[in-house]
Formats: sequence, structure tokens, C-alpha cells
Amino acid sequence: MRRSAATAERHYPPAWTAADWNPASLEDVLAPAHGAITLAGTTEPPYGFLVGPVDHYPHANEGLIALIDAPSAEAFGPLDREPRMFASQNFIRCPLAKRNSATAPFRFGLHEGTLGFTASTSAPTDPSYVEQWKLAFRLAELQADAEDEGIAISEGSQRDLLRFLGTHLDWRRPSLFLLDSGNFRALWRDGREQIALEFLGNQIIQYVMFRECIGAPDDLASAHGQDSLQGIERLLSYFGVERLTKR
Amino acid sequence: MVKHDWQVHQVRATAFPTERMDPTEASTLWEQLSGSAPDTDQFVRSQGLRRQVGLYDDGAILEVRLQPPRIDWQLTPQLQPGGSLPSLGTYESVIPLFASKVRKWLDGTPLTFLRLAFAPHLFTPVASRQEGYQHIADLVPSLRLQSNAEVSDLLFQINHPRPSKAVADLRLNAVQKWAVAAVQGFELAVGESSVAHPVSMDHFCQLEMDINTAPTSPPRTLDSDNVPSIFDELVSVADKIAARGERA
Repeated sequence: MRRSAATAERHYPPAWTAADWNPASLEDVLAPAHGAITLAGTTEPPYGFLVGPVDHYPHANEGLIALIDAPSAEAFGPLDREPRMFASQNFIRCPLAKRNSATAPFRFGLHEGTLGFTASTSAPTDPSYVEQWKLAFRLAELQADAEDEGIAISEGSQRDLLRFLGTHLDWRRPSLFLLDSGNFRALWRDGREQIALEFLGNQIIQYVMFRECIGAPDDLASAHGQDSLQGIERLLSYFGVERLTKR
Repeated sequence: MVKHDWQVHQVRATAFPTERMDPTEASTLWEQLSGSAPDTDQFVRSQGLRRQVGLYDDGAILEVRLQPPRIDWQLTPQLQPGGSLPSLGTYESVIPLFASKVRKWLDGTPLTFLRLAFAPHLFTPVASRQEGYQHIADLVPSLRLQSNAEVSDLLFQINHPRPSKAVADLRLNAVQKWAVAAVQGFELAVGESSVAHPVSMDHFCQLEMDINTAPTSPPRTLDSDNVPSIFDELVSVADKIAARGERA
């Protein structure tokens, strides 16, 4: 593993939790990671990060968090390996667009740049914080896909998705899809039971839900319609599918 | 070939690799089948599960789950507003395309396998539960229902094992599960006084199949050269059952 010299250290505000997080856009989500974040510590355990499976990293379960903004060859080592970020329990593959050449800037979502990352043994281990980042990376991936495919993302849909999932970071992470319409759809599924929420913008969600019938598991109950961002949680609970969103 | 207007609710292909795969290293599985990157890539450490999900071709959801010792490829429809059972499309429009993709992957992967399975879940709309039972009785000779008898909660599962035609000394299981399902649609109003108002009731005949290579003792690796043709045979058995019913 190559070493990279420490240039500065930046810790995440310890008080920055899900309760403080009310992003209006993806830019807000990613903002803390851009620009000033540089290497803290070394690339050797226990202060750094690795290129490779987290299983091979003995300190990955000690509360170490590495948040990778955009990679540089120097810090990440072999160019043909995908850098990964990892947290206390899970690692996340850092979403990177393919580069045309080894010297081209890396792209993360709509951003281009060189490496900046922070790693600190005192970084917050609040699960919601980690979930926030997972969501951010996922949306960055979808942004990059949309750009590649010429899909115009609905800003209203994205804003509502961020608001909704940002206030439910303790939920099981849904599969997220970007539809051709530019709207986002979140999907939770357990067998034949499913919740699909399409964010239409203007704080309106179109929902489709299926759940098995008690005492007749081959039979299904379904419901579909539209509700507000605020009303959907109560609706999921009332229809008996809220458990699909639980970890 | 396929009769009875089967719609595909979902379809799964499963492979049991000979060597245990490391879920953390299987980052390109979805891409190997689809040719593009997945929308979602998750590693659930507590379950040792690698899960990759994405929209596929005509908008269906393709999911691959690597949870040693198995790899599952599953195609499911996106949920659309409406009370009916979600469908991927007709049997003829979905199964051959999905099967050809999986076959191509099996043909190209360096992995070797102990077992394979092909498992389509089909349905066809019927007017009522009783009509559904009659429809099943027509397709399932082993099942005898007294005419005009009042019955409910019918669930019939049977396996017709058979020797493989592609490979000597290999046996195939052909597990079929026949049932009638109802989907009750509700209109919800949630507020001070919440109500779920039933607005529709649709019935479906269901046929779930799991056509698989039988386990051997001790476990025996399938000859790599035969794997594509074995998979073809699994699909062929499913085709015949969908067309002719239980005894195909």
C-alpha cells in the first residue's frame, strides 16, 4: 500500500447528526466533503483506508470511518482498482466514473477533482451519519448515470427524496432508481411484499404497496395512490407494511 | 408452444458455484449479465450477502444476490399504480430473453457449478377462485376435484423428478406449486379516522416452478462444457410444464 503524506486534518463536527441534516439538494449533502478535506493520518492502519476488501483490514471494525471524496492515483495505489470507503460495519464502493486516461481527473457524481479524504479514529460512528453518506453516494451515482443517459433529473423529486430519506435514516436503505421521467423511486421489498414510492415533486409521493394477507399468504392486499411526504409514513403503518422499512 | 396465457410474475435462476465466492470481491456480477453497472450495490456484512440491483432493459428490476454457497439472479417487475399482480409480461416475451442472458453468462464465466436451478413464477387471471381451481384441475391430472364441491385454500405441490437428457447420470427435479391467489385492492384514507376501502378483487391461477439439478452425494461438479445445455434443459422442462401442465 502506498503512503500519502498527511497535509491537514479535519474532523467532522461531532454534533452534526441526522437531526441537523435537512439538505435541499445533493450539493448540500456533498458539500462537507468537497474542497478542504485532505488526508489525516497515513494510509496505514489504524488511521487510513485501504484498497481492497474490508475483511483484510484489521481496524475496520474499530469505529474508523473513511469518507472518500474523489480519489487520486497517489493515495489510492493501483489505478485499476476501485477505491472503497468503509465504515464501522460496512464498506461502500466509491462511485467513480470511468476515466478515459490515467491522468484524467476522477469524477464523482458531477464533480471532478483529485483526492481528498479524511480518516479519523474519532470520527462519528452515528449510524445515521453513515447512512447519510451512503445515500449521498447513491444519489451521486444516479446523477452520473442521468448525465450519461441524457435524463433530466427532476429537482423537485430529488429534493423530496432527500427530505424524506434524510428524515428516515434509521430505516432500511431502499433500492433507488431514477426513472426516465427524471423522478426518483425508492423500493423496499421482502419477498412478494413491496413498497414503491415515486417522488413526484411538490412534496407528493405516488405509492404502490403489496402485502400478504394474514392467514392466506398466497393472497395479497394492494394499495396505490398519492399522499404527502408527511402523510406517507402513517399510511405505511396503517397498511401494515412499515416493517419492510425496518432494519 | 406456451398456452394458457401465462404472465410472468418473476423469474429466478440459481447457481451453486463449486468454490465459495467472496462477496466482497464479486463487484461485477450484475454487469456481467447486463453489460452495465447496477443501480444499487450493497454488501450486508452480517449476512455475508452481496446484493446488486438495477433496472434492466425494458424497466424490469434485475437483482443478483451472492450469498455463499449460491448466486441468485432474479427478474421482477416494477410496481405500477393499479391493484393487479405485477407482471413482467407474457411468458413468450420474458422467459426466452432472460434465459438466454443467463445461459450466456453461464457459458462465459470461469466459475464451475455443483447445481443449477431455473424458477419461473407464472400467473394467469381468472374470474373467480372457483374458476381458478377448475383451471388448475384441467392442468393437473394428479388433482381430482369433485365438480360443484365447495373448496377453498387449494395448494398443490408436486415434484416429477426425471433423468437429464443432456447429461448421463444427472437427475432433474421439476417442482411445481399450483394455487389460486387473490389480490384485494384498497383505497386508503389515513387521518383522524383511517379507512381502507376495498375497491377491487382480482383472482389469479399461479404456477411456481423450481426446475433444478438434483443434489448428489458426494457433491459433484457439473462439467463446464455441459452447463449451458443443462440450463437449456431446465428451461425446456419449464416451457413444457407451462404449455401442457403437470405431467409434461
